[in-house]
Amino acid sequence: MSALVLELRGPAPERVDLRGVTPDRLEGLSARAIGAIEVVAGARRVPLERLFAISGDAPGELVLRGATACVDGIGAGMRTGRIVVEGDAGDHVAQDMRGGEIVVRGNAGAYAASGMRGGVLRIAGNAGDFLGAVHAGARYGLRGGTVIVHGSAGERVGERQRRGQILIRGDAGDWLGARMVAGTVMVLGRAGRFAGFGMRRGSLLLAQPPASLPGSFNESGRHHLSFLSLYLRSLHALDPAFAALDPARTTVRRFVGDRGCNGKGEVLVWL
Amino acid sequence: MSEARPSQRHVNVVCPFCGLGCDDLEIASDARGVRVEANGCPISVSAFARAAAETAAPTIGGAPAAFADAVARAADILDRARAPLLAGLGTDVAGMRAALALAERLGAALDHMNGAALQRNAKVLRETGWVTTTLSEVRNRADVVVLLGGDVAARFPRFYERLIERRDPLFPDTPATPELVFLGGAAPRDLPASPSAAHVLPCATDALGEVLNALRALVGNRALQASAVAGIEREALRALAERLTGARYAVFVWAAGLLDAHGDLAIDAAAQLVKELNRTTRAAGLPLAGRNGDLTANQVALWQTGYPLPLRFARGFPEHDPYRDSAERLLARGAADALVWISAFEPLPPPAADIPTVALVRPGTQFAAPPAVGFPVATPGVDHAGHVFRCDNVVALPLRRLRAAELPSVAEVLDAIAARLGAGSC
Amino acid sequence: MLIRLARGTVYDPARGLDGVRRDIYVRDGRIVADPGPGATIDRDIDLDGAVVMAGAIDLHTHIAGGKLNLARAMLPEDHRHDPLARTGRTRSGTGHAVPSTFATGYRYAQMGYTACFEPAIVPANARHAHLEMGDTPMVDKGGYALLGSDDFLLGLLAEGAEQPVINDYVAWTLAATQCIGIKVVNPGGISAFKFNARRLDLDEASPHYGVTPRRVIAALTRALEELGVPHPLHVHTSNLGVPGNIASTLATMDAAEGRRIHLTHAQFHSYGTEGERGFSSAAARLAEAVNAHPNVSIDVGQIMFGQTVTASADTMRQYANRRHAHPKKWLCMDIECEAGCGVVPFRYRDRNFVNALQWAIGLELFLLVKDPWRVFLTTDHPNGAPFHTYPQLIRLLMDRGYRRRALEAIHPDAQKASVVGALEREYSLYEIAILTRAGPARILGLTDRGHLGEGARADITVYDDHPDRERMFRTPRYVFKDGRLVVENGEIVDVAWGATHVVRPEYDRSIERRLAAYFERYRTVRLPNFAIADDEIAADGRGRLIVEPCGRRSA
Repeated sequence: MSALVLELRGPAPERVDLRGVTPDRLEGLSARAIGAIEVVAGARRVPLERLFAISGDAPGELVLRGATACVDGIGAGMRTGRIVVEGDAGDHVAQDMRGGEIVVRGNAGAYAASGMRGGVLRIAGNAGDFLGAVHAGARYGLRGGTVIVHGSAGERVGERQRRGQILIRGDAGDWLGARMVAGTVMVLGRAGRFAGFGMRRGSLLLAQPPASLPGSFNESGRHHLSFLSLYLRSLHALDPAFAALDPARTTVRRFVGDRGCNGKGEVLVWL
Repeated sequence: MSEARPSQRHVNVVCPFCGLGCDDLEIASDARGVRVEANGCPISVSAFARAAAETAAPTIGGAPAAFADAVARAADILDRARAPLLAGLGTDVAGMRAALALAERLGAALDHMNGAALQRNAKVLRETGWVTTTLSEVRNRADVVVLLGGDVAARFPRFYERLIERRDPLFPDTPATPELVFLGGAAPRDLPASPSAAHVLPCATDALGEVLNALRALVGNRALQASAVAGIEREALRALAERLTGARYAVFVWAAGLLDAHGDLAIDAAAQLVKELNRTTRAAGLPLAGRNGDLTANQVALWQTGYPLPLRFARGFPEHDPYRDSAERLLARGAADALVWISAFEPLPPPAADIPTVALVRPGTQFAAPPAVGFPVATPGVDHAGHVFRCDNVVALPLRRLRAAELPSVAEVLDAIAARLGAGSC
Repeated sequence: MLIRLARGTVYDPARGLDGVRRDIYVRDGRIVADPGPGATIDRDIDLDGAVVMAGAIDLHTHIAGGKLNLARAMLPEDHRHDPLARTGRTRSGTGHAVPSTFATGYRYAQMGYTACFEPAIVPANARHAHLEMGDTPMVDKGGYALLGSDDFLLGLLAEGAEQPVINDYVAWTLAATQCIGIKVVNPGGISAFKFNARRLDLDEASPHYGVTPRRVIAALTRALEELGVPHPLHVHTSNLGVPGNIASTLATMDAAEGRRIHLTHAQFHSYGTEGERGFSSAAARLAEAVNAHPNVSIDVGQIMFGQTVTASADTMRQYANRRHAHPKKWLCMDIECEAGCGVVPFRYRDRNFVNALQWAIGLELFLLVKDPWRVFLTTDHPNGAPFHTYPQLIRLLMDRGYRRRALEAIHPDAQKASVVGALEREYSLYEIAILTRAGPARILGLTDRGHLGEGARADITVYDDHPDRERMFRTPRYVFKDGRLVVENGEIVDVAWGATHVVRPEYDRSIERRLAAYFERYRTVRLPNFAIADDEIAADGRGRLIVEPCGRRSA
């Protein structure tokens, strides 16, 4: 028994939509049935095997190889199992995912973890715009689970996030946590302008002051947050990238907003 | 429909060009061509102006061709395409109906040239909703008008004349001219003549949402520490907040196309502010659009498919993923391999893309490189009758034929191409 | 081409046929007399044991216009789970609560419906509504133009204009908007909301105009009677959804001063204030009043449990209902000094006391109103439920065992607060044919629809007589539209494009001079561009107009 490997047969000229091809849905299917699954490439529906060379026999773990930056919807809706993307992922990786684990060894496109409800998404490289943000046809961004980005993330991380956590080792773009409803985003690098815009609840935990906070946030002074040390310790176990986080760093400047929408979200900047 | 005689004068003509939907134009069509004689504006005067004899033939690779040959060539391109895109979509209701029918058969993606602006509004509508109004309400009811993100007059030239400098509103409590507030963006170069009480509160375009949220906090009596927001004094915002809560019918005007890439966040902030004002008084938004048939294309898409633009039919049914299927992004990523470009209102060439292009455009369009197939098409409201939606998205207006022209309509060309699909190489 | 539908069991209440075995002959789109033994039958269809009715007619279903497109735009999540793929014959689209136009037409036809009437056409949006109806296949269409909060009418009433002037304005509106009836929604209330009033009761003077809703009802019911328009004023009364609104609903009946009046989605207007929660059924009171007043008809506006969206011109009430939005998003729009529109998504839950009682109130109305010619089967699609729930609703009316089981599943306090469990009445097939065919045709003045007599358009639905009435009405065996077989066992086998029904009562053209000046001075569209020309509806060869006759104008 070895992981099921899908190797893209060559750079596809159009986008490939891999929605629906997840370990839980492939379980129990014959190799032939898997190869015959229809996926959308550009304007056409084509059998999976025409786009990918398929090997292996245990779809509980799915490995994607090749120039997969054009492959969208990897792991979308997944409930159980594991997907490893050896290169880059396109847009919407882990969208609406409910459980299991997805590892992207390269970069991910836009809308990674959008609408995700559970499980873990690990991105070794950078994430594009709208990480954990709301997509068309959904009401919320990230709704549960954990997203870990070793590199940086683009604009509007966590827009309308409702639950779950997003942990970014690098920088985050402008409008971090825009219109956030609840949940946590941590950024160890630098966050961009308008961080927390339109936040209702939830927490942005920032290692450095963001490029700007909206004028409708009020500062509520310095706070010593004892739960932070527990939280930081819990992150050590989650990913080695966070092993260096010092659990003794528990003092923050706290900003509350967005007062525009009567929000009680908090932006916590480590001291 | 009568053929244009040597000289004809048309009154109450609907102008389809900027989206404001002025329908009081007087237009002459005679041996010298078509021209606006009264109630024009810079946009309508140039857009209606036509040479008398405009006979343009279809082209294949830039060389004149017979219509049937051009249709066959276009069908062949689309038959071979693996990821075709219909874009531009500058057309009327009939043209959009034909575009959707063709896209459905091809499994194509479909987006309007103003798709990014359409999405800014669509996103707010689907995520939170809003309170909006229409032109006649603004004309008769508004006592405070807040223009967001700069001066809309450049894009809707008769906006002030028709809605602000009205003098004669229906209701005696409505002032002859509303108080005007320019919030965000730069101040307009020339303030409209009459408003005595025009306030200008400039800020960077991308800070508009931030300013609106601060204003909303003040409307809700929620204290702010900041003494200024994006360069605007807090007390100036407080004064505006008081004016808004005291207004009977405040109107917030925005044109999504004039906002930046994150303009949806500013629109959402405005929409939520308007909702908050409605708890105690009345207020409404007025999203302005309509140029090049953007609202028209969007409305037809909505009723025929359930979704706004952009769309994709790859699975045999409509799907809506505004990020993936934005025409701009599909072309930038090389994710489309054939383009049908439609611009019947203005002579706009297709965006530069190294893929076979079938261009349905107004005669006189200047191409950087000749398209694989070019169809000079008739202009709705000049060369043929039709329908377009006005900027407030409620009023559909009838377009008339003002002259006899031999050019085919967008619908005729697209239907001819659709009829030819699958017929094999020419 | 002569078709014989042989030996079917015919339910044709317009002609008093209650389950009679008859042959029906169809030629050139119409039902014809038995051509005699010498005639050549081109197609002979044996319907032994099957039930034959005229095509069903929905007299109140929101299928076209701006509010639907706003609802569509607001709810992409509602469409994503209900895609409709193209076939070689049919176009693609989506459902569910507000289906796309193609899906609407196909799905109505697949349930045996052959005509649908859009009940709330804001005049300024009428062209849009007709453009959508032009893209709605399979069924005949028509609309009711919305008056009663429009500045022009309220201005006429405020200045004490003579009734004939009002009649001229109403007749002009019907012509300009290409409609078959007049609807009033929260009379005066949509206008009042623009002046920041949050409620307006039947005898309250409206802001600015000082006109009461009662006066609006009286003027419009009288106008339609004097113009000879077949369909009576179609009224969405004041105080929709407000506990205790039965008082204003009953008073609205009186406001008609004995003239014919149709109260629409009456379920939403039959609420009392009794009980711990201050919300109770007043269906019995409404039904009693309907039974006692032969000038009154109602359609029910039944709610059915599940996700839907409410789209209404009643901005005043929709604004108030925003608190119940599910999902939490909503919009309101003020429109052209004429009316407005509010869209609020809703999920009716059987375990919610109020929703459960609303469901029971609707059933009470169906079961307590005695005359089936004066009650119509609607869910106020999509406001009470999407139209595809009709077959289930029919079973609730026809099968009391099923109804009792359904009742047992709802909120226990709502069960107790309703008399539904004690009502033994079961609708017969004949009565269902009245509610969904003969009744709507009669009240709309459609002379050659809704029956199977000679000369009728051959809109015919054939059902298998299945004891499970939901199953029976969900998938007819055959549906004919204008004599063409369009649906067979639930499959679309041919695509038809229905006609648009309108009325054109006479009016004094001098009203147009006054209107032209008014439009030019205050409005943002000029009169010639406001009115919809015939050829706009007939455009592209698919649409066509049918002008239904009016009675003689009396004033």
